[in-house]
Formats: sequence, C-alpha cells, structure tokens
Amino acid sequence: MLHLDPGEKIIIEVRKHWFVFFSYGFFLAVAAIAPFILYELYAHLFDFNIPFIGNADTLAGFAYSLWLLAIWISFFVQWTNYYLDVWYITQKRIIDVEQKRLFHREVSSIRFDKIQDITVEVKGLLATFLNFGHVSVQTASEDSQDFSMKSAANPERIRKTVFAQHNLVAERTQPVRIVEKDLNGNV
Amino acid sequence: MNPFANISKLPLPVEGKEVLWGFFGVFIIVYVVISAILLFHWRRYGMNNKNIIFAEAIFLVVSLSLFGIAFATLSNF
Repeated sequence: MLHLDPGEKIIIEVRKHWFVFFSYGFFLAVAAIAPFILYELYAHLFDFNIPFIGNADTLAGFAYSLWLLAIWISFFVQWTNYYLDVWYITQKRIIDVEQKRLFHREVSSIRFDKIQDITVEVKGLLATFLNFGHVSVQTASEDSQDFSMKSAANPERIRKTVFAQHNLVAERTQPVRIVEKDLNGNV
Repeated sequence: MNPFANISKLPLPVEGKEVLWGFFGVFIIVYVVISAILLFHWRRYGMNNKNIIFAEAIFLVVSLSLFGIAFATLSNF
C-alpha cells in the first residue's frame, strides 16, 4: 500500500520499458511450442515410437494443458515483479518502489528539495529507437542512496518532470524579505 | 533399439489413471496457492491500476479455461 500525504497526487508513474519483459515473454512462448518441436524432432531423427497405455491423444492433451498452465503462471509471476517495480512522481517527492522478488519489496522516497541532479543515459540502437534508458537521481545527502532505474521508458520525460517539480518546489521555498515602509513609501 | 519399448510392461503400484488424478490434484493446490499470492500482490500494491485489473481478468479466464481442458482430457483418458 502506498501512503500519500493529504493533497498529494501522483503526476506520472515510471516503469521499465515493455521490451525488458518482452525477452522473457518470448522465451516462454518458445517453451509453449517446444513440446511439438521436440516430438517432431524425436519422431523424425530417431524413428522411435513411445508406446502409450490407453488413449495417447487425451493423455498428451492433459500433459500439454498442465505445461501451458505452468508457463502461464510463470509469466505472471515475472510480470508482477516487472510491473510492481515503479517510480511514483508526485508534486512533493519521488517514491521508488522496487519489487525485487514476490516477497521482497523496497520503498524509498526523496523530496524534490533534496535532489541535486538527474542523469539520463540512452545507450544503443534499440534503446534509441524504442526510447528507453538509465535514469539516475542524485541526492544532496551523503547518507541517503541515489535513486536509479535501468531501462526506464521515456527517460527524457522523466527528467523534464523531475526538473519542473524541483523548480516549483524551489520557488515555493524561496525566502521572503519583509520591508517596512512609512506612509510616504520610504523605507 | 527403442529404449521405451518396455515402458508399458512396467508394474505400477496403483492404476495409471489414479496416479494422474492425484498428480492433477497436487498441481491444482500448488497453482491455487501461487495464484492467491499473485492476487494478494495485485490487490495490495496495484493502486487500482487498470492494467493490473485487466491482467487479473485475463489470468483468471485463461487459467480456468486451461484447467477445464485438462479436466476434460483426463476424464476421457
């Protein structure tokens, strides 16, 4: 559960680019069709037949259904780890939620007035065309950790949003000088 | 020589179909436990995100369909 201050709203949610998860999804898609490929290879290369008891088709259908179920749940376990890994950027702070594993979750936050710098790195052909990159937020304090996200989607938008909010917070916290004037306007 | 030639002659302590039903039962229990864990994470940390709600629906519909197919094929075996 994310606890926001009263009046605090989420401006944008930052996640890793979908391409990061695509490679795992592709591997699972290959695993889903692997039984057919392996069976055809086995039948053609070795010319062997496996003697089944009873109705071979229904048994194969049962086994394949369980195989697909295992792949399906594996897909969603990985998707959960991917999708719950997120930065929430509000008007006041950045909240870094890192879902490392199903039962391992880290939540940290940093206020905009503590941010010293933000670095964006887009490296490589795929990253350039698909618009994802490494985003790193440096804090002013030596004790606190810098925030970073690899393969974040639309990193330039993240940088602009953080800078805009940082400037807004800086303007709001500027010191006010009180000047007393007499009735004639003299200080 | 076919290494699988004598599989059907191996003695089994129980009927083959009972073993399959037992395995299916264990599989269902494990699947339900992992599904409950996933649903817990989506409900607790999902922030009512529409993508998570959609993913939950897809996950349940496809899971139930595949379980239906597995049950039907095992029943006809």
